[in-house]
Amino acid sequence: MASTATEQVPRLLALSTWLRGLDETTVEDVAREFGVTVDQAREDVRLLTMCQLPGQLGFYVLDLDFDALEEGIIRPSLDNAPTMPARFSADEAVTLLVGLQVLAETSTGRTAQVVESARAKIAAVAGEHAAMADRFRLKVASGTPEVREAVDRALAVRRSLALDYVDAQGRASRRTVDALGTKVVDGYHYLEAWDLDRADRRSFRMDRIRVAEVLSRAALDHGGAAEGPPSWIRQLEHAEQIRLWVRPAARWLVEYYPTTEVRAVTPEDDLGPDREPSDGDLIVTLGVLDPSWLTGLLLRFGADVVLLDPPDAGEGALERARATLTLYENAAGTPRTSRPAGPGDDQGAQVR
Amino acid sequence: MAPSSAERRVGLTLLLLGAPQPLTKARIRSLVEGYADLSDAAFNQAFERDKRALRVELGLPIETSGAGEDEGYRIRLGDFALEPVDLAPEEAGAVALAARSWREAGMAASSQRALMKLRSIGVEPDTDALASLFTPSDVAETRPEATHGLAVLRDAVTNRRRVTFEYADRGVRHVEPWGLAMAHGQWYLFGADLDRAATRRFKLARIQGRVRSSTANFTFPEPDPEEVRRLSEQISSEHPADEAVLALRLGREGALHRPLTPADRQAPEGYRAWRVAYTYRKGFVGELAMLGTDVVVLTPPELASALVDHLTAMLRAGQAAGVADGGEVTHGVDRH
Repeated sequence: MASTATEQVPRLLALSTWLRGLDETTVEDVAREFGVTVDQAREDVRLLTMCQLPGQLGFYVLDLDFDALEEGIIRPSLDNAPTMPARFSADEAVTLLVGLQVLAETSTGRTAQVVESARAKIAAVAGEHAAMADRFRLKVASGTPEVREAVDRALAVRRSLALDYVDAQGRASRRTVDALGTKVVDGYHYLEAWDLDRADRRSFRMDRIRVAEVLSRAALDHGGAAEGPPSWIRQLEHAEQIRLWVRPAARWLVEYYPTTEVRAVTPEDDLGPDREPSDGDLIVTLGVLDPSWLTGLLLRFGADVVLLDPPDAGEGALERARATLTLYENAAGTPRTSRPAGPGDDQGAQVR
Repeated sequence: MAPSSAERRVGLTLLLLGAPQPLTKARIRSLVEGYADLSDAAFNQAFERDKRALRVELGLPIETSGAGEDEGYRIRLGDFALEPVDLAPEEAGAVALAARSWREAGMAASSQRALMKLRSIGVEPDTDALASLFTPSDVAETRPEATHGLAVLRDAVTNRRRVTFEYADRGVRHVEPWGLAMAHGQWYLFGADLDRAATRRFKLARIQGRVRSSTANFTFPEPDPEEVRRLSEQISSEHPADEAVLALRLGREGALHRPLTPADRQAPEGYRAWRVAYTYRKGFVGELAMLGTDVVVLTPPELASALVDHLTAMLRAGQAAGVADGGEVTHGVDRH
């Protein structure tokens, strides 16, 4: 990433003040702490040693052991940097406040209080930039306060949890899990947990946990289970690949689900008899772990997503569509005695 | 080697910051490395640009006094320095988590820098305090394509600068960016679409190529706060606009993932009637379609026929592409 002066100047000033108090640090540390690459961190440090103090010939903002710097070690020997960091710029204030807002939306009880008081204190020193943070709104889908509180407590007291969970396809199940932590991904709050029945790590969307109950059973230590990608992402690499023809109206599919390949339709693509692609049509390849997920996907998108390969993987969806249409046809074709006719709604389930 | 503009601006800041009294332009020119070698015109241009960068982009308060040749500049330490923040270790831990929650490069750098400023004034985060609840590095992960141009747009919003970008296949757009909102895993920009003279929202994932913003001299007026609030709420919260009465198969009540209120309505055998609020018919029809025969739309009739249309079109599309069983589409009754 190219570093522009606009980003670099505030970073140089902040870095110079931070280095003041230190006897020794490393380029790697600077890179991590300031969220830049190692090369950028090294360049920043070098630049500070070249910044002359105005009007004081031969005096620089920073002096250090250059041999050590070659090894990635920073040993400041002279430091003329400002003693205090500059107040927050708008971008700094906004990113902190919006980040805290996400934490606030996903925490409960005492944690929520800690986050809220931190937010209020940061907002106070952010001055007029605090109002600017209102221009940035993050809506996180999380669980009910009861569910969040139970998860919070299970983590705090290290006990197992019983969950009533409903998955995307609407299948309800009761699971016993040991919570590993929670995280927010793409605006959804997830519980990361070790599923005791399946003996594997699972992610649960907090908003799909109907009931969470803290059990008296002690949670076990599952070692490094919290690290690495969740099992479904790992499995996705080896999952069966399907190919879809995606119409422009369903384009958001590729913005929501992990895909293997996305490309525009070409004249070589065989879409089947009598079907012409239009502008903006895509051919999308993605991995499918669960056939019922694919059935749900095809039903949701209807005519805007057509399964190309393997063709028979869509049978379940077509079957369910036919069965549903039969239900409405029967309702339309026979006298409807199943419910009283009321004004305005007597056409209820009819198709014509 | 001539100093870079970053070096020059650091020098200018340090000079103005230490000044016991305002410094004239001539004095500044003689003291800051990188100004002395420039021609008059080039110096004036560079100085104006640097001042504006410090003021507008970095938010450093340059005080001006006097006029003409005597016009002087300085930065008062009291205006410059971050005020002390009395954060308890746990609160600082929350701030550190918030700072690390950004994945998008420009956003991550800004929040990390803010955190480092706090640490320079003695704020030491207790990162273990909240680590049991949040997996530290993944507080707010987002796919890179969903945050396309996020940092540039954030700066454009905070500095009220117009932006220009290529939007999906609908060409170049000129927008006064009012704010950003994320909902359902998507980031949106909202503001005034200058080509259409109307307020619009844009999904960041559909912005193509680079987002360009106008220079610091051209800012648009402060938008109406009420309008900003309305637009951002529209994106981040669904205002249910319509209500349906649905018969859901017993035991499948949770499958819709929506709040249900019992409806005093007869339902088919094995089903029960519920009231459900929804906003966008097209999206709701997709959700209903997923449930197959587990749900029957009782009212409104438009919703029921939209669902039947959806499923009929799906069967036709599937069949024509050679996917279906090759038989007639018997459910394809023409409507409307």
